[in-house]
Amino acid sequence: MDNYEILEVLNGIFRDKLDDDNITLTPETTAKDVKGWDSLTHIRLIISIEKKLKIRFTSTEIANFKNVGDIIAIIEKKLPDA
Amino acid sequence: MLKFHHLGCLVDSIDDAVENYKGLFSVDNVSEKIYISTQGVYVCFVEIGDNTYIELVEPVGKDSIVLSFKKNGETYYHAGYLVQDIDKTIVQLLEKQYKLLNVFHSEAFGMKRCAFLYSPDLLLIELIEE
Repeated sequence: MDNYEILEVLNGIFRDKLDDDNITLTPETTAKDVKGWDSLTHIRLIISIEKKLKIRFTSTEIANFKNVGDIIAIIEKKLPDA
Repeated sequence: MLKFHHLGCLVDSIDDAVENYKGLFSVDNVSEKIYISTQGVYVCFVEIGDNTYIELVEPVGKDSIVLSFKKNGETYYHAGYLVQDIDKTIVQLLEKQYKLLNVFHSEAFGMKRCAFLYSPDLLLIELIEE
């Protein structure tokens, strides 16, 4: 799965969990750019990503996510090589 | 061990909700409204059984942490549990893949320590240290 495919997975999760089909994430997107992406929904999004991709984030990783690009970078490291 | 204490219910107005509950439970079973500064909410406890409560939660202002739950209307959104040692319990839950949201001192429990965590199934729980 390449970065574009990961981004599409994230778009699907964010649209579903935040109930907004107009969400279009980029690597530079931060919580301030997405309505409804707050500290509560952040954890719900993270857990949904973990379940969808069958990976686990550490607490440190979650705390250090500054934008979507950071999430993608960690996901890429955790996914098995194709 | 977790000991069940309350179900948190998000409401538009505690005053209106309390009126509804007064018809079902004794007025003596309804607490005063308490402001929780760290959460940006007013809460009120309605005792529905022995040491078992509904916690009515009313968001205050635009920055309340619980506003994201509001889009689906009034709803039960968390379960509260009493624990003897909150630090130890948090560690146990993290080992079970729970995610820690925050730890805070709650005005609703005499400034005792509380914590919110999400289960792997996206159920929100609150721990209250006895």
